[in-house]
Amino acid sequence: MSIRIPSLTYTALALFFIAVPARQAAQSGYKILILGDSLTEGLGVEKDDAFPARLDGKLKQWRPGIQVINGGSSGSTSASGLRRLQWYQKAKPDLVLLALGSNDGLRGVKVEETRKNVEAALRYCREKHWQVVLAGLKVPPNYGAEYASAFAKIYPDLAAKYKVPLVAFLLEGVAGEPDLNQADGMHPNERGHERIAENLFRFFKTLLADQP
Amino acid sequence: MPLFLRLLKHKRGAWISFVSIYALGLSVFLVVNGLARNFREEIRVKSKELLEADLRVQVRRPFTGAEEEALAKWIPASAKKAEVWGFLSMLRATGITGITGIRRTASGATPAKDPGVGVPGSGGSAGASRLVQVKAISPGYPLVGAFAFAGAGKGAWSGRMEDFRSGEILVPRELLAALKLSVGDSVSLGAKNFVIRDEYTAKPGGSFDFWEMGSRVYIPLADMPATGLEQKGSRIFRYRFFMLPPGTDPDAVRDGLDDALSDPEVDVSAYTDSGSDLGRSFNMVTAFLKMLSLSAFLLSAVGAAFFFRHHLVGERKTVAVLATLGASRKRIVGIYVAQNLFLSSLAALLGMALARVWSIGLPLLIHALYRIDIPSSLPWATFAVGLALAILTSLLFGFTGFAGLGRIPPATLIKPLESAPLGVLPRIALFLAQGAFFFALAMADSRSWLLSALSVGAMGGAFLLLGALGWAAFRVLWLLRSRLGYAVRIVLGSIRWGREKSLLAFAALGFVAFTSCLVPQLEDLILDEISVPKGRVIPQLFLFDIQEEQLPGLQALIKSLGRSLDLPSPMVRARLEKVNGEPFKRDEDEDGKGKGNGSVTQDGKAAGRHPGAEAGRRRGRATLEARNRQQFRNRGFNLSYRDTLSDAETLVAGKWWQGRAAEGAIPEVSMEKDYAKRLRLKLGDVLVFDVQGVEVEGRITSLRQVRWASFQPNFFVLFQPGALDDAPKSFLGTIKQIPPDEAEAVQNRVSEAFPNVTILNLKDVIGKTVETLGKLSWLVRFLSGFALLIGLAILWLVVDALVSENQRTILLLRALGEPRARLARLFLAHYAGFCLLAGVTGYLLSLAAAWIIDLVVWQVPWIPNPLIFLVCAGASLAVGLLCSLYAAFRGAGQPLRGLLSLTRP
Repeated sequence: MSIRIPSLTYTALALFFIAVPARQAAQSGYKILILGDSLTEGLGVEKDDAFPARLDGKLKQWRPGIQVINGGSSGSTSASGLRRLQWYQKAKPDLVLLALGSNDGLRGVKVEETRKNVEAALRYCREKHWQVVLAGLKVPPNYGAEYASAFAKIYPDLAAKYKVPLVAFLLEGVAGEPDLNQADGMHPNERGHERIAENLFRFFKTLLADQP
Repeated sequence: MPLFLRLLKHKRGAWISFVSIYALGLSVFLVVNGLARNFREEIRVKSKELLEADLRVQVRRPFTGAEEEALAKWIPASAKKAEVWGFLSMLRATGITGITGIRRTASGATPAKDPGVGVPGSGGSAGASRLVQVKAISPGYPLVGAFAFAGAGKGAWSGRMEDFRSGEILVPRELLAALKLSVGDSVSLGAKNFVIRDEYTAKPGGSFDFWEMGSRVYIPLADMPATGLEQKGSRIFRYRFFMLPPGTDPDAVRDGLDDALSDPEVDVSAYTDSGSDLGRSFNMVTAFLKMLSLSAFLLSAVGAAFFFRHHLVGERKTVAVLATLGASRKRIVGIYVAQNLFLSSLAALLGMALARVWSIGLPLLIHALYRIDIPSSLPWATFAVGLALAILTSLLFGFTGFAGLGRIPPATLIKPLESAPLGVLPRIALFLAQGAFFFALAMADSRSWLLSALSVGAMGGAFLLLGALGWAAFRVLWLLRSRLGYAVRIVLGSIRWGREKSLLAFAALGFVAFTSCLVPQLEDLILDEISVPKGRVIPQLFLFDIQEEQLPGLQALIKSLGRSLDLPSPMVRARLEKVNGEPFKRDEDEDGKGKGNGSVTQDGKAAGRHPGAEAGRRRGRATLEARNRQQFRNRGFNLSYRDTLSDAETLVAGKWWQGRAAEGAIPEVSMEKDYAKRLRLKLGDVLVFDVQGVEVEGRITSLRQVRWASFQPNFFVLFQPGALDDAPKSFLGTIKQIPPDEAEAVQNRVSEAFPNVTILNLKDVIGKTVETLGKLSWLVRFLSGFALLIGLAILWLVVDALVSENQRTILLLRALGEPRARLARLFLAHYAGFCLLAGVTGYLLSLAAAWIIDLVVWQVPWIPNPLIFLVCAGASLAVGLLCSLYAAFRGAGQPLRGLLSLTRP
């Protein structure tokens, strides 16, 4: 079943594909781990300005029991995903948002390799009975249409295969916008992080809406 | 013959010593300054090559209309221009087109069965793709530097950039090998196919940015639209290169553009900004050479002044005779000023001739010995400065003597002058004037108040301290004279008679020892900073993002290729959360340098977004720097851990840990000292890091000095093993210098087996840096040794003059029946004591000076090198004993009749 989700709406259709029953989100200590790279870590902005922290604030206002953990690590590629998930086992997350692979794309890593690594991370989460959400990533158009489309396809393909919700593109509305990015043109600034957090908040609000 | 020359006729020894010492010192000053200037010029040329122009403007988007206008306003119309777009992209092998009928493999050989014409898909591994760094170049590129091509001159391809046409691409050999392609084959970038025109073997420029991973390929800028790679969201850098017309100041144009281009994303660089990789090393070497040349000159000036003053003291009776015969004081002073001018001019001419000879000979010698080329020209301006400097300095140093001449009474003929002809206050005033003169000289040379004050202060202070110590030592011996033997008393009396000369000689000897010991200590420090330690092979390949589970496999693979993965270092990403229990935040002050190199506010409140953005000399640059600082400030830390210090590290405070962190105890942390200073962290501080969601504590127990030019993985923060073992980490590693073919094979095999591992070949970048640092090292070594030889020569001449001075005492003692052997022992003890006391004092003062210079000027820890201590102390002892032996045997061996021809001055 295809679950390619329109990127602008972050539709809640994904809810229907959640494979693993989640703990109740309202319950105290519901933890969302965002596993990613420098985009997640918030390279170049204060920790409190990175989107995981802002999302944490928004979700807490909505449901005080939710906690977002920033699992970003600058420079990391998808190859480190599995090992890092093992580390976060200590944090006992209830839901993992996998935002892995942007450095793979920027370094021209073979698409199959990235797919394999993200898939391994996804399977590990399922083994641990953690709810999983995939975040789609893209490479800039200068890498060529062929590579860019093959890379972008990794995420919807895996989401469909494992029936997990998909955030179609993590940097939706932010990538390529000079006002929302730092001088390097790659990392979001405070406003860019706020936009991502807002997008994700809408997504999670829908995703977790029917949970008591 | 004028009287001043006739009076010199019988003082051959004195004036030869004066001229030779002064000429030697002056020549060292001229040649060291000249070579340093030549080297600076070479660095300047290299900087242009690195930047590829006089001026470069870059931005990661198209230039706006306002920016184009600013460029048109500030860049002279006659400037040469070129444009380049730079970006990363995937290059795909598509097949053979055979445009030239010549198809060559990466090694340059023509394949046996070369179809020569297009057979799509048959070339190499058609369909294979690889990340490349694309440079789309405009006509006229490169402005500085040049390409070299493997196939230039073969067939229709001339190798000139004018013949590089639309639809063609230039690639490096490793790319041909990796994709199994040949010259003449076809590749695609985006929607456009390109034919490989040639394999380049050298390319312009030499700078490196981390984003520039992948092989660099060149395409015509005009082909960019056809590739379709420029779209919204594309990361494409636009570079504009400019060669300014002669006489245009690139810094002024850069500053003007900085002001005009308000967007901080637009970066303007002049070639004077580039080469900063070598900045610290080069600045240290330049400062050292300046100190060296100034020391050599001051040394020779002190030596020459010693001889001239010695000569003037010896001339007191002559002065008295002249005064008795009716010569006016003005005329008498005029005679000796003329002598000084004559001798200093002679020394200057000789020194300049020597400098010229050395400026030609030294580079030849250095080339013959070390295969290093150093430019040999010496500008004429250097000679003019040398002549003026020599005469002025000599007059200034001789002034005390000249002023005293007018106060010598005719009665000196029958009663020797017991007190110095000039009072204490005028002498202090003259000493200060001499100091001011050298300070001005140092300022003109270094343009640094601190450096000038330290150089002159250290030397002047050393001279004063030596004089005071010599005087104190003599006073103690003089008070104890009744308990000493008569021979010692006679020696003391002899010193007392000529106490001015003795004191001067003591100070001169000590000063020679001071300078001679200071130079190797500073040289040692500099070489430690800039040279590659013996036995260390510089790495060439750098591997990143090695996952823990990949490490054994990667090591095995590299071993199977006959190489080894060196220094595999774990890297753990973390953020500093708390310092001593308080939330950590850091801000900067308005000049962008931070409050005392950085400040920590632990109140948990942000101190503003871009505090440096509103300040600064130029808004654009300040804002960009502020952004960069913000990025630096807020980024996390790359932590690592290991058992021992690397050979690029030196512990400067605290202690290194023993073994692994104990269970339950706070693990120990070692910080790089400058980084700790910037963050205002100190020994004993307890840090809390957020290691990807998990808090890890650590206490700073040591500070390290890190030699960043060691070309090996270095970290600001190191943890005691045990604390981070389980943390998510990746590894870095290096592979040493290997031949190009092997490097390509290793790169390809690693990329195939471990696609996530990024492998960078930094051969070109490191090679150029190492070559320049090597030159600097040898320059420092050679010129230090050269200056020390001059110091030893001066030392010997001073001792020789002292011996001559005491001949009368020696002969008098012999006439009184003192046996020669006992006399020899007596004078051996006398001179040995004299030389050793002066030498050891000079050495101790040099330790203090080295300590101050290291800490204040270079801001590096001062660690005395035991070998230098032994060599300096040993050399002081050996030279002192040799001089003493020479003095004792020469004095004791004189025939008694010599007493008749000697008179006390």
